[in-house]
Amino acid sequence: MPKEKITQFLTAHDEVLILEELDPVMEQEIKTIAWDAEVSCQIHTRTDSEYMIGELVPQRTQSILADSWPELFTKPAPPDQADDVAPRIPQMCPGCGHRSAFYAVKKALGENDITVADIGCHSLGFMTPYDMGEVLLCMGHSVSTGSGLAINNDSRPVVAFMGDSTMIHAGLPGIVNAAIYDHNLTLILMENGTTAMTGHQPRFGAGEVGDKVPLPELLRGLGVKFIREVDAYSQEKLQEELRECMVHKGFSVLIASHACMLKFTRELKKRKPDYQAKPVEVNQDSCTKAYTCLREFACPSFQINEDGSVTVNEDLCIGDGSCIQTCAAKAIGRFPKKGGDK
Amino acid sequence: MSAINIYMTGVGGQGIGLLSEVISRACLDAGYAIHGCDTHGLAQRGGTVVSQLRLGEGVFTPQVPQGEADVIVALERLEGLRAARTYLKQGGVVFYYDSEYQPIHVRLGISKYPSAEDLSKAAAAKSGTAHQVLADDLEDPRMQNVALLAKIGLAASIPKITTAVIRKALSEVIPSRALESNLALFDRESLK
Repeated sequence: MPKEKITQFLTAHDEVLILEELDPVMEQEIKTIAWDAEVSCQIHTRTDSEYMIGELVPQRTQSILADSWPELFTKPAPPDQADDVAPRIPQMCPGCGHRSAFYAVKKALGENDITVADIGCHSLGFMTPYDMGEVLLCMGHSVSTGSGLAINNDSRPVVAFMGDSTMIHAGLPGIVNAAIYDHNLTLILMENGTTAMTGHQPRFGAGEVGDKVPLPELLRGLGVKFIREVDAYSQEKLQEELRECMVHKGFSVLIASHACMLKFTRELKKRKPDYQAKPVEVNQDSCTKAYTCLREFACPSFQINEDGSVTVNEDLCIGDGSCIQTCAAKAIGRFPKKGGDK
Repeated sequence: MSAINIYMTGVGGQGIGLLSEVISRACLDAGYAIHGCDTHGLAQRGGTVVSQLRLGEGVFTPQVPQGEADVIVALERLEGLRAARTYLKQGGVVFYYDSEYQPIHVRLGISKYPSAEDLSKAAAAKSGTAHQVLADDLEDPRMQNVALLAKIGLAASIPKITTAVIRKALSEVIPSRALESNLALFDRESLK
């Protein structure tokens, strides 16, 4: 920080307002400089205003300035927030193994069960309609927090979620702890083989960088005794395995794995430039409009039409077919075209 | 001269990055001083993606103030409506590609997906206009942005940003393997 310049500026003014994005790092430095220089200038900051939280977009900045010096700045008109326009929240990609896993996990859990989420793509499970992960703190916390919630708690089973790259990055201590004390909780390790949320950085042990480290072996090495593995697309099997894990008294890990399909399809298109996905379709004759695909499985590829029918957005569907098993009416699939072509 | 504000929006994966790069480059070529910024992060997870561009001197933030956008470029109808309501200035212009990506609240039946009329009304409420773009038979939905670019050049809503200027920027930005088909689409749509 340019001490002299700041001191000069502070000395030349009676009142100074510091607007700093995020944490008050420079704010504190400037205040220290002011203290040392014994400057009498009054320093106002965002920390002690009602605008402490939120991004400093032009409107907010102008509002803060107008509040501070009403004679110099005019307050902007409150913007149209368009609250009646449908929000668009982030969601898991079409074909994501996490969606398949959450859909199945939700069926296997009781209403009172505690779900603890971690950081990563699977944090999106918190969003409607999955509502998975009622506790979310920092990276790698889920098992430790889950352990805490499981101690002296015989009435509400605890399930923690964590992705594989987060586990390698920050989750190991909590797992060792839960294994040593055999805390009564289940970790659902949502393995997609990569660091998906931040752009597919290699996950150590997945083989892209260095040797492959099989996760069950790693977990056993950390002292975990009860380990089950399942493909996240196998929803029934996942539910069975999860129920067994939860019946088990003590720490259990269910590895629900499926490759990140965003990464997978990208690499596939690179290898085979002519690759075309084969989207699923909804058979309108057998569809009973139960809307399980649309509202519970909730893959973004399904869309609702004005007449209440459900169709597949072919620009989005990657043809993974993880949705097919969710339809009780068996109306989702890849059906032979009428008229005989293909 | 006050800044010319361009607000670009769409859904993750639709190619707003390329659209923004082409327009930015076209504006640079046309001699504008430019400031711009993009949203990153959850773009790939079906969220809203926004790219903002401000042309001219005396610009101190790359962010377009709400209600101050001269031109809105949207790759999707709902995002076009959201931008028109929050960012369009009086007398501004909206160009939107009429694609439909339903967010979860629409699929759950909590919110309504807007009609083209809703968007026209939102623009008209600010004495502006909304131009709907829809190209038939696109071989790839990722080419929607090119169809949109052709219309922006045609309408000449941004001073000096002609079809020729956009075409030149487009040919510099698009990778060579996809250039021919994209330029053909651009030329075809520019004639309409």
